[in-house]
Amino acid sequence: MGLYAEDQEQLYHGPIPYIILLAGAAVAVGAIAAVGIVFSYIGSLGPASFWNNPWVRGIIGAALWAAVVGAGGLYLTLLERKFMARVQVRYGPNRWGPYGLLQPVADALKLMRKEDIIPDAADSLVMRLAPIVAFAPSFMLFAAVPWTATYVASEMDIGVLYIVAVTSLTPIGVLMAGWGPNNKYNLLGAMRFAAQELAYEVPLILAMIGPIAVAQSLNGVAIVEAQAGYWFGFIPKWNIFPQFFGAIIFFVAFMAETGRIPFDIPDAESEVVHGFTAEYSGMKFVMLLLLEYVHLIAGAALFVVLYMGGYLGPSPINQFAWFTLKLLFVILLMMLIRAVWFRVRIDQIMNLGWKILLPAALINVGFIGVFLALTVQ
Amino acid sequence: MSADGSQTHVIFTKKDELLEVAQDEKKRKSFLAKVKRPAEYLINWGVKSSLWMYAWGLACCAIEMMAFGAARWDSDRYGIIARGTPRQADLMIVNGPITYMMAPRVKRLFNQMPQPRYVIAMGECAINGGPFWDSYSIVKGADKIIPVDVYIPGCPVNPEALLDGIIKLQDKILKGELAS
Amino acid sequence: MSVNSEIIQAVKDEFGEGMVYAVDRKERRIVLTVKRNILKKLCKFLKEKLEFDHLTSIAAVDRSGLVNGMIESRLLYYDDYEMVYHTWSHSKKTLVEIKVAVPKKNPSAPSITDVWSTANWQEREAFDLMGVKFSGHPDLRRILMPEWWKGHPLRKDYEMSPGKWFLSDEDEKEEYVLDNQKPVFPLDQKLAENVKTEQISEMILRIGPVHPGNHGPWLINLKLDGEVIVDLDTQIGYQHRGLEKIAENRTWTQYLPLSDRYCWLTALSNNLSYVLAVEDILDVEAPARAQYLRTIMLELNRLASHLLWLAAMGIDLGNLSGFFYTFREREWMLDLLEMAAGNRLNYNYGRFGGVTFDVDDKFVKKAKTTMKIFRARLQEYIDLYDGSSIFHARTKGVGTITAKAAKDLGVTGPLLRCTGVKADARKDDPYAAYPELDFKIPTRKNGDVYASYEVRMDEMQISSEIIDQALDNLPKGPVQSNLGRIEPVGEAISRIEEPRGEIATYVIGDGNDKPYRVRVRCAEYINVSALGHMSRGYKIADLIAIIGGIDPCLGGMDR
Ligand code: SF4
Repeated sequence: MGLYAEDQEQLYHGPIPYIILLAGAAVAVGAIAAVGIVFSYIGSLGPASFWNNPWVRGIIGAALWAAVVGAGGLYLTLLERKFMARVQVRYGPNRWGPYGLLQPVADALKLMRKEDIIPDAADSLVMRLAPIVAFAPSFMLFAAVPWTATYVASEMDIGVLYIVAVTSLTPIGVLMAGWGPNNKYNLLGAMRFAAQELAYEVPLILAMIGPIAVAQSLNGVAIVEAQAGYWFGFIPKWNIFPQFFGAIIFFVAFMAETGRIPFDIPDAESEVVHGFTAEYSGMKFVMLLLLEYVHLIAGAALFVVLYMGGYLGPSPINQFAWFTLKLLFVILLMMLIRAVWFRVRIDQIMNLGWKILLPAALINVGFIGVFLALTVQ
Repeated sequence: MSADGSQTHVIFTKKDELLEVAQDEKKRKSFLAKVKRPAEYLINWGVKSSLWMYAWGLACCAIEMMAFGAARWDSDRYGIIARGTPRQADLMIVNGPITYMMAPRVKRLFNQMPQPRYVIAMGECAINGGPFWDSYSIVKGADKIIPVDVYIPGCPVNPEALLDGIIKLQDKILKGELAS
Repeated sequence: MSVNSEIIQAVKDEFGEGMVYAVDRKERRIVLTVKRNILKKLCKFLKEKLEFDHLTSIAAVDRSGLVNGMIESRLLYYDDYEMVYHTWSHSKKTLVEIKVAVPKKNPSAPSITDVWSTANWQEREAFDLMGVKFSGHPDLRRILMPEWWKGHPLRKDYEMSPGKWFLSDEDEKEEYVLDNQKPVFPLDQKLAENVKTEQISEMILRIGPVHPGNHGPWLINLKLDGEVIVDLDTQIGYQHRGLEKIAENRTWTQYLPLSDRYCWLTALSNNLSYVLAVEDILDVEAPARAQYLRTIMLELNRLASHLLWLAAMGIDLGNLSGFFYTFREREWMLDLLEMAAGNRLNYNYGRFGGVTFDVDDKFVKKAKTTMKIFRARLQEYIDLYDGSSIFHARTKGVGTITAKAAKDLGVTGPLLRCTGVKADARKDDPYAAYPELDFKIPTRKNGDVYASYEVRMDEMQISSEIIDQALDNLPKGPVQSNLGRIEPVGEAISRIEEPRGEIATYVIGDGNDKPYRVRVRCAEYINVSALGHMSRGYKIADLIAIIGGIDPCLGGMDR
């Protein structure tokens, strides 16, 4: 970008940047697919009974998710900074490492080095426990999310129910983070978070009922498998097409649960100064920061599983890559929303949750029930 | 990071020094400190590469600080982002005159920042009171109340100059010679 | 009969020939000298009968060091201190200056807060800096200096000794300094008798002195019921640099760069308002080219300032991209200003009888291109901000203020125009090249944050058109006139429409090479004093939007 106004008239630089962009995207897809091939090769070693052993699956699935969510959460910050920067006519991190790839490493190193302050007036036990209590449940929820048909940490029959149960633990941790440090901004942020979480939990669950009813199961893999096949030979039988309203309700609700713009009132910088993280420094802060990104991945993963056919997709690209690509798509969509939208006010959030989304979700459930009753017989 | 900034960077200059080091306890300790350097270097690199600045504004230079964060200069390239709470900030840029009324609060904000923390005095006002040097309500420089690592002259300081100052600070961090 | 003589006649008819000493200074300027005891009656009369609905400024002057007796009116009621009130009529477009002599020993004057509420903060300031007591003032505290400060700095016999300041490492002392300022909530005083029985669940939240939504160091003490604001009290003065006192220790020309620094976002307006006041005393006019250049730069400065406001509004309401886009265009404006004046923020562009530098053809060409692209970009902002329904929901019906209240509170600028009052010093009290240019004053009816947003967006469009016009008509010739030594005798007040409202500089010269007294009325200071009125009953999040709509600038607030 030129510095002066005269240069601004030539914003179009020819097709080459776009070709490079497309080529980059193709390479990225190829890389993800290659990782998937390696995984499926590992999966094909040994007898099938070995892989079906719940212990093996649990350990491998958990390790995979831990790695993905841990590193992914860290690198998601970089992705977000880069992506937002591009939306905002600037470059984003690009000095430390090629394309700024070492930036998250530097951030992590620094945050580890930072002093961990517990204020005098704080309730030190609560303040220490809070990040763990808030962080652990959102990690636990990945156990029931299927990455591919094989790579699911725990293929439990009550998968979705388990997820719902676990997510509702997070507000406790956040409330502790609000109470512990004895700071009014923390408290305000935490109260806002809890109120928001409460208001959107119900529509979220109600919106889940649609896919569950179609699949007749609470199991993640079963829900995905129920979306296999095509209508008219080319439209995939994803739930998002017949249950469009349910999908929108779910999307909005999980966006509110993640607490990102336009629903980021719990950590609104200009109002409550980063809300419930205001008083935290060092590694405790990292955990609370990652909470948002883990929530983001979790919500996006759930959305993909419930509404976008999970790991299903035509064969040249394998299941692993399909899931990853869909996940990235949803995450980038949310980042785009974050880049251009405003923040709503607390009463508007409550209105939207209780007065619009909740009735809409109820009506949606009713329609799906009628529809299924008519067609399934 | 010694308090007085007295560390040297050349390990040995003369042959006899090795012997001296072996005998003198003080020197032995400083030698050991140097051996620890690679780890320290790594951490210092991390610290210098992600300096989060405290998002506040005192006066005119704050606007230039904002410009430094905006699209043309884009501080994010260097990993510098603004945080609204001192608990998560590493770098306090004093961007304007400090009044006697504000001084205790500046000091408190500095104390609220976790270690390691750095201070840049941006502009004449933060260096010595600048154009308001003879006013009845201005503290004559930020270093009267908090330790300052880098001084950037200018009124106002251009974003380029601020960037230069920050790069100087990063060099200092990597070498481990700091005021605070 | 002209407007001026009509007003003088009306006042004399009411109070009697001998009670008022009136001078018809020039067009749009009248000076009335009265005794203390009829001050309040005179103010009431002016407001109610003659429609002087806007109190511009209150200045306290310590005249004990004045050597040359200047204007003859002084001889009438002479005393050591003097209170000078400036009031402006939006309908008659005339400024009346009321002078009241006050004794040095136990200085006091009647408070006029119940005539114009805007006098509240101004009288507090006079009390703080000059030590004049106001009888009947509801809340006479220090405002710009801390409570523990000793003495009144603007007095001529004040010793400027920073040694009085203390700050040690001992914690108690720090605590003492920090917590010394106790908030006083206006509603408490009013309701003290009635509401004592029931305690609502109230929380006191301190926003500031450093808070991302504050745009600078000032403190808002909020009394909250849940998230709803019950009452608030503001503490300012964290950036008080004592510029009015510094002026007395600099020569006339040396003070020019400092006058930029009242408010760094509107440096040119501040600077020019000082220049215009001095030019008024010296009775000189800048050459035509300089007038046009002043106009162009003022409008460029307005664009830069409004763009920063838009950026801050984006951040306040959670839209980060808005900040980056608007800063991109702001940089272009700054490039142009830097090209002409050589600095990005504090331009120091005005000179007595002209401007510092001339511009060349390259500047003209670049400015035209910039304006063309800028107008296209402005449309993008309207898409980004106005196109978002959340933005509407956040700003419509928030911080509503009526025209009557706005006038009473002395609010000026876009905040006043968004209530439907067509008041703009560029048209009403013309300066620079504005009388020769053709432009409109945008207004809105609703008086909420959204209306002020719309007014500012329109203003940006109009500013860019003004710049185009001025560039087209730019006359040839010199940009400076040679004035020789500058030692003006006399006093004058100038009014300028800065991006946030009205800035008025009142200057007294006694023939020395230094100003005797410089008093500035900054729009931000008065606009912010209306915050309490605008935000009671709204939520914390609304408060941030309201502050964004007021567009405070700390420099102007604290000076
Ligand atoms: S150094 Fe100059 S530009 Fe910076 S804050 Fe001080 S007066 Fe303003």
